[in-house]
Amino acid sequence: MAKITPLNKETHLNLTVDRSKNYAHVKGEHLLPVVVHEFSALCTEFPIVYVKNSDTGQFQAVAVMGFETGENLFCGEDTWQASYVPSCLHAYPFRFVSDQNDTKNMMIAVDEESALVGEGGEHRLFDSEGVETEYLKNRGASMMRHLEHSEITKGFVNELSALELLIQKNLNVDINGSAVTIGGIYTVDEKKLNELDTEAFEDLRKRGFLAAIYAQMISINQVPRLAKLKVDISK
Amino acid sequence: MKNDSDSIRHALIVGGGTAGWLTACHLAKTLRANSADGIKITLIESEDIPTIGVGEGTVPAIRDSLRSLGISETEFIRECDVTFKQSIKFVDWLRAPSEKKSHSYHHVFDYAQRQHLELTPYWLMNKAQGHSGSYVDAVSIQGVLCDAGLGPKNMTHPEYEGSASYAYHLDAIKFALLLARHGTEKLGVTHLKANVSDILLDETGDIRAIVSDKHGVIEADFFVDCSGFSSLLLGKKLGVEFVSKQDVLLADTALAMQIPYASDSDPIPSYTLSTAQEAGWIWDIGLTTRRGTGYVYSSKYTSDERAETVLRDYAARSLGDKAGDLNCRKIPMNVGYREKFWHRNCVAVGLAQGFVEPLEATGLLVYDAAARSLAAQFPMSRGAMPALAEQFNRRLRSVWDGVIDFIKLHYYLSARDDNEFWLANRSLNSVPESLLKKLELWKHQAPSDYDFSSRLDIFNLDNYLYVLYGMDFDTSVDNFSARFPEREKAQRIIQSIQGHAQKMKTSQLSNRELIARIHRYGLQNI
Repeated sequence: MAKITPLNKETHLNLTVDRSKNYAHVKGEHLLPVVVHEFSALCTEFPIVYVKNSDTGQFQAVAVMGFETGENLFCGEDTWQASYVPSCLHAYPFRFVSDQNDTKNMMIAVDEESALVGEGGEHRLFDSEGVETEYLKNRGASMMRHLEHSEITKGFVNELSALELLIQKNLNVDINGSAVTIGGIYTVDEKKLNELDTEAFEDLRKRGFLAAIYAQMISINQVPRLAKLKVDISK
Repeated sequence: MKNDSDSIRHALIVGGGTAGWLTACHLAKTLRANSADGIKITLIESEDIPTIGVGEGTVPAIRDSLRSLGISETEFIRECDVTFKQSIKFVDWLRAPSEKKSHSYHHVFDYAQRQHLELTPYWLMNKAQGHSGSYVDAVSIQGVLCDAGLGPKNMTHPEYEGSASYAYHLDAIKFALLLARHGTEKLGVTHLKANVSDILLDETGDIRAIVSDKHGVIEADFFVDCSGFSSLLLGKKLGVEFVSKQDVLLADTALAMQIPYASDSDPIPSYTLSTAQEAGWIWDIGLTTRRGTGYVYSSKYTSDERAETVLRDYAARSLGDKAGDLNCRKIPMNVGYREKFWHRNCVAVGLAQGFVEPLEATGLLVYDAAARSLAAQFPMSRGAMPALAEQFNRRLRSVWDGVIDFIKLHYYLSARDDNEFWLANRSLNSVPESLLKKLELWKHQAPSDYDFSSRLDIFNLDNYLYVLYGMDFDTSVDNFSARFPEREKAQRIIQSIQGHAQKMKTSQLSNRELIARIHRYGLQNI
């Protein structure tokens, strides 16, 4: 179980964090949220699709890790079965939480129960004076960057939706001879993209969105590979 | 050869309530008012005459209309205090309530799925053997959703789609404003604000123009009368008679009262509540900001004072003492319809066309159906008018008669005898022949699709089934078992529907929460 606690120089003075390739905390996640800045890196290994958030109905960009809830085909016991690690995993065991006293203020919290967290490990978070270490500062800055990227991604996805470029698509795959259909998935429609008027298309180009749009469309071709991975693992 | 003086280039709509704006939007959309070669659509409304604005219930057909007009469901929900409606729940219609017991049933919007099996005969046979499950819960999940306070869709459904069929409760005045904005900004309707002071005829007797106080004489080729009960054009000017149906539907007065929620977290039912009273019934419709209630009664069988007491007592059940201070507004009801709805170059839509008590939310429904069919069959030239008018009149008259039969059904099936009103409603001379014939047949066999021949009728097989068997109508099952041998299969289907309903209970949002989220996040259009 995770125990998320906001960082505090008194209680966490001697806390250390190890770097590791253990991503066991997403072992049960078949969809991982991704940011537009990593689409081109992701598309060579994972299908990227848009799904609706079940609480809000808003579209979000995700990388597909498995064919059903609870299945992450890339997450082994101690390994990550791909060369690229999605950026949402970088922050672990840290995460942002909002300050209870001031909800606009974000604080860094740590999962105290994580196997990466302890004392006498690789990286201290505070020095003996209680001052943040360079390591913690870097981690914080990288999380802040990721948060900005997430906001830009939200804007990007909203733009695709506003331009009515998304269509619903069922992904049909063959797994060990049985046909599996994944529904509730949306992708940019090439036809609609090509029919966009010049001005709107030019706007996408200027905002640097084109590469991401194409990367996502291409990434759909990773679905059969994902199916093969599933078959291989089950052997 | 085309004669220019014969072509219809300009339609003028008189009156700006929901009927006027619905008509303007449908005509403008279909006739391409916003393009250079389209038909010009003008709506003139008085700033001095208030709209009646009581009709707050709709039926699922409204979704098709809104979508086809290009209105965003999110925008509509946010601007018109909209809540979802999945059913009308009829309480105490079968029997007057006693200390311990109150009878109720749902008339839900979901139509039964028949591709595997028609379940009705099997439900009837079960009932004859003493099974007590309700009809609606045997064929649909929606009664369960309603009673659990749940909405008909979730946030991942696109606009206008849901897990079950649905319509809306809405603020009619805000709805007219939304339609007005959409009509003028998007669809090319010209909007004039002025009072109509006179109506001018040409030498043949057709309407040529109207005279207004602020914009002078306004000529048009075609006129739509949406002037409400006063029916300025079709009734007053062209002299088309009003056919009263007061002898069939006895209620003649409504007393309307808006009541506040006791708290911001009060559940909002996703159904209209219709509770029978001693001389009529009370509607109760939950919007986002308030409830709209009203007592529809017959002034022959109760007094205005007594009616007000009944309505305040009803409000006091949820509000306590505060119910005494609320304002109520008396609305006389003219039940019936015009002898013709289209005469010469004039069509009436809305109250100018006809009115029946809002028991099945037919107000907006009939206006919308009339406006849509007028738009679809709009005359290209004067030469087409007589034939189109005849069709339109025949069709609409059949719609109105169908609506009246269906409303009468609710009264006729009642076993209430606590007031002369209910007995008078069952006296045979008040019941249309067409309804009696249907009921005679259905004593011997369950209704079938073949009993409903017109595709354009508003109330069809499922609507009748929900009301008939919600009201304990007795269909004899004497010879059923040989004709309907698939009892096990029927049982399996009923169980799977009921299992599905229980599962939905854990996955759907409450009506209030669903609306709050739509206000916050909006719905996607795919």
